[in-house]
Amino acid sequence: MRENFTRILQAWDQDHVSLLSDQGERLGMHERLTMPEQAAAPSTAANEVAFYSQNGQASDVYYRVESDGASGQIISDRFVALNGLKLEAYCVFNTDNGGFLSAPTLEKSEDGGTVIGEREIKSFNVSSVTPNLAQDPSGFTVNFSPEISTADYFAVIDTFRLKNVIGGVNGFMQIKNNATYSDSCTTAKLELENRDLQGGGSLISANLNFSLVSVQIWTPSQ
Amino acid sequence: MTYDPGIPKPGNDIAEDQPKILVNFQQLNTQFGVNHGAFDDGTVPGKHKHVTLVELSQAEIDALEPKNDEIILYGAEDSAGNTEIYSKQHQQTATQFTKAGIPFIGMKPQASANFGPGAGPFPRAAVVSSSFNVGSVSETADGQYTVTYTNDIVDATGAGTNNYYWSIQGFDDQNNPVIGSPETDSVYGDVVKKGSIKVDFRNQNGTLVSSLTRGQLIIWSVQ
Repeated sequence: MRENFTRILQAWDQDHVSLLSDQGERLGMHERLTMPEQAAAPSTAANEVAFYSQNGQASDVYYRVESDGASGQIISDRFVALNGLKLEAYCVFNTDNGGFLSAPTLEKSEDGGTVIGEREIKSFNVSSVTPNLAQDPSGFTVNFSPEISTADYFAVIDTFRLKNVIGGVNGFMQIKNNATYSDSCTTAKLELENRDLQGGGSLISANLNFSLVSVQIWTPSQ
Repeated sequence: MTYDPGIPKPGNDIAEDQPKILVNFQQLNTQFGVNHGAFDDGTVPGKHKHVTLVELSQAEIDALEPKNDEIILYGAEDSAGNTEIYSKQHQQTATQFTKAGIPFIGMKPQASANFGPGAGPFPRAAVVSSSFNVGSVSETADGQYTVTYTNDIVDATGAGTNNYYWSIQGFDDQNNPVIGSPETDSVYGDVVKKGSIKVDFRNQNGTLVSSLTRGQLIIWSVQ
């Protein structure tokens, strides 16, 4: 009987608040979910949904809808999997110096209200954005850390224009074209450049056109 | 045989309670083993094989009150009538976490391709470096491509739709702007279809780019 109690304690304590815990109100709760990979999706009855792990790109997290329905991937190699794609990096940077956009966080006050907290940088897996020229930058290098899983990614590039078009300058931020693809798009960086659509397509200063540039890097998750 | 928390009973003979104690241990092992490596599992005792969340009633959901520094994941019926995963944090409204097999964020990517020009006469098959839900990419002219989806793009109800969102980037090795978009100078419905999209890449003069090296495309729809 003592052997049974010992095994129950050890197995229970693997993922749950310990049976020996003095945190009475938390007894029975989970501390974590440790899920060894399963060979196949678990069966689900009506009005049930199940989490489990399978080997995808790593030990990834999946879930299966009710009544043995379709299984979907939730986590793909550290990233949220979204219907076949995963977002590996993003940032919003300003065109004056490549600095990241930051915004104040909202924090809870002692009385339960909301107060404005410290400013927080809005980027994910982007270590820095470097202007290609210190003065009058026409392009930027977006540096990833950790590196993107493939250089054959899908970039989404958008701009915010604070100013009206100046003196016939109408810029367009794009992947740096006056190079080979493997120079511009690598797992470690993405090179961007700004070109004048009205002035023959020549390189122009980015901060004549835009205040902010947003970049998202998506890759396949399956 | 069910679990009996009243065993052993005071005054009962041990011979009478012993089989009931055995049943209790067996029930603990069986029920714990539904979602976990059971107590007698030789490899992963206590670890979760999977987590099955039963659908909670509205009364049960209303009673969920996670404390500060806690989060609750639970199963509930969503607006489509499916059992999905929700999360609730301290003093926050609940958030739907999954929908129809994927995480729920309101939008979902439905197709993508990283591709480049092929060889031979038009229309020629493009070289696809990576893709998702794309059956083929064909180059119909310099700088013009037709991307055909493996499965149609669908709306939130699962019906095919051409009312979706795209992001298109182009790349060449020349000193040009390269602007990717659905094929211009055409009728929307002829270009943006549930089963395919025609895209073109033009420079600052509106001229199709003949030196395109790569195109990158993502298609989104409402989730």
